[in-house]
Amino acid sequence: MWPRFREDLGVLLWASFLAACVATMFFFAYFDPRLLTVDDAAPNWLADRMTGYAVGFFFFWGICTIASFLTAYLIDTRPSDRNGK
Amino acid sequence: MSAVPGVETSLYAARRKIHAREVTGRYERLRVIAMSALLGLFYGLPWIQWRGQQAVLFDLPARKFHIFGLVFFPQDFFLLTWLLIIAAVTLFFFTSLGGRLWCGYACPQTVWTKAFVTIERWCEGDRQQRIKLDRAPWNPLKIIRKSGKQILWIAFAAYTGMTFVGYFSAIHGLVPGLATASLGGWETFWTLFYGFATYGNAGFMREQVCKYMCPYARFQSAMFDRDTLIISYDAARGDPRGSRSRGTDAREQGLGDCIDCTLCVQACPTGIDIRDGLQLECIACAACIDACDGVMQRMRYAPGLIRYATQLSMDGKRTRIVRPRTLIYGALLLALIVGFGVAVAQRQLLELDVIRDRNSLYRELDDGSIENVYTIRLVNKDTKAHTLRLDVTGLEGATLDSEQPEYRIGGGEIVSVPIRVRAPRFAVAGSVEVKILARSVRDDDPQSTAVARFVAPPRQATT
Repeated sequence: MWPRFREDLGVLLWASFLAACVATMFFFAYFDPRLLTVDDAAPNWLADRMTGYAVGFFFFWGICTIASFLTAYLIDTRPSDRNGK
Repeated sequence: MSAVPGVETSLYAARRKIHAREVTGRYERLRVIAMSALLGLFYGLPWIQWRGQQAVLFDLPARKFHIFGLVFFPQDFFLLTWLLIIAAVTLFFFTSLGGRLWCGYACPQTVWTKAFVTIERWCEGDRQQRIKLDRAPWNPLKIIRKSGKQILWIAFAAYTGMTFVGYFSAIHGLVPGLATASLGGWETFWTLFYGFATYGNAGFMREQVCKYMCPYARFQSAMFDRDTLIISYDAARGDPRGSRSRGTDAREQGLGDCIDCTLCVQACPTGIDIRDGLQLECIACAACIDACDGVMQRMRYAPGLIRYATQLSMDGKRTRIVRPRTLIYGALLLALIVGFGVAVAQRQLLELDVIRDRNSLYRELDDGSIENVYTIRLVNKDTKAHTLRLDVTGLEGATLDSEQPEYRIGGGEIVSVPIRVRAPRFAVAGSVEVKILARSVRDDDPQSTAVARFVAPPRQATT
């Protein structure tokens, strides 16, 4: 079970990585991280654009991973194996 | 549910490490040339200077892309999207003609894997020696060989990561920063990130990236037809396979040309047997062709038992290069490239944005005129500086007032200018549109206009 799970995890992280790259590219092409605000004020940590990009990228990657995980979980309709295959 | 004998409950097979046999031949030469050119381009490009600055620099902190003197801003993002579409259609076009040429010769995964395998060969020897070393128990020599490989791999991967970051952050500052360990936080992070990805993908994952991770590998067969070049084993000529002593007549023994030496299998970086026919795993690297041609030469047989061939030519029919599929891909590609060239050439070199002052709608001055305040953002996308004058049109009697009469903006620079637009009270009521114009003082070129909203008090009923 473990190697199979490891492979699934790899595919899942990889697919969400690709989607996150595209999302980051499009998002920051139109939005300057320095101009983003939280409750009408620009937080200090967004002052450095590189931080903004990185946080954005990992945010997208995280969200996409959740979506990938749910997809993988829901479409896997194999009968469960009590012996722990 | 217990496993029923004879019924497969899982198709999962643990991966066995593939030790690909090194080959020599014309396609190997071609691969080495392609690999050297691509790696040279990747590692060399950031070091090229152009008019006093890095020729190719995707300056993300400043939100400016420099490509050989051209400056691109986020507003030009559609050009990048366009370029990516061109790249995709180019890939489709060449796939329909020559199969997986990209995979075999140009894909970064193939190129870096080849570089890593070369390092592995320096440290651990050829295929037989590597297999023996892997099986051998740990001894001082094995430790030296394996750790030598790891050190070289890690150094190469780290330098690769640094070069990658060098496309986004001036590379001339990165090398001293790396040497003195004073690199910025994010530069260090992304160097490690990309370096680790290179190390993992080229050192360990290798053909698994192509088999399990690559989306292109999954859909490339959709571009294939019977006229597409694929790596083919000539079964009609090769079978039945079997060993024979040199100089004997194979046909008399009822044998084909394949001597079943399995060199083609040993040479395959994805571990398949091409004699079973075209497979999803085949990245069309042609290593098996080189391996087989070497054997055919030693046997004094004609080369090409395994060769680049289309399915039609294998069936003894003519292959068409010009066919609806290639015509459509070709025409589409041509249109996209021409369009891209036009778009870059026609690109407006001066961009003007007008932002209204959020705090006040308008102000009534003592002389009875109405004033609106704006901030103007001027983006000079040209490589050279321009001196610009601002003006307002579209409203009778309106005047524009700025701190300086003229603004000089260097190539690739962005300048924000506060301006005031005034109009006589009688000329305007309510909200109207005005045009803000910026133009070069020299010959009106470049120039740019933007529409802004001018707000005045509503017309009052006469009292």
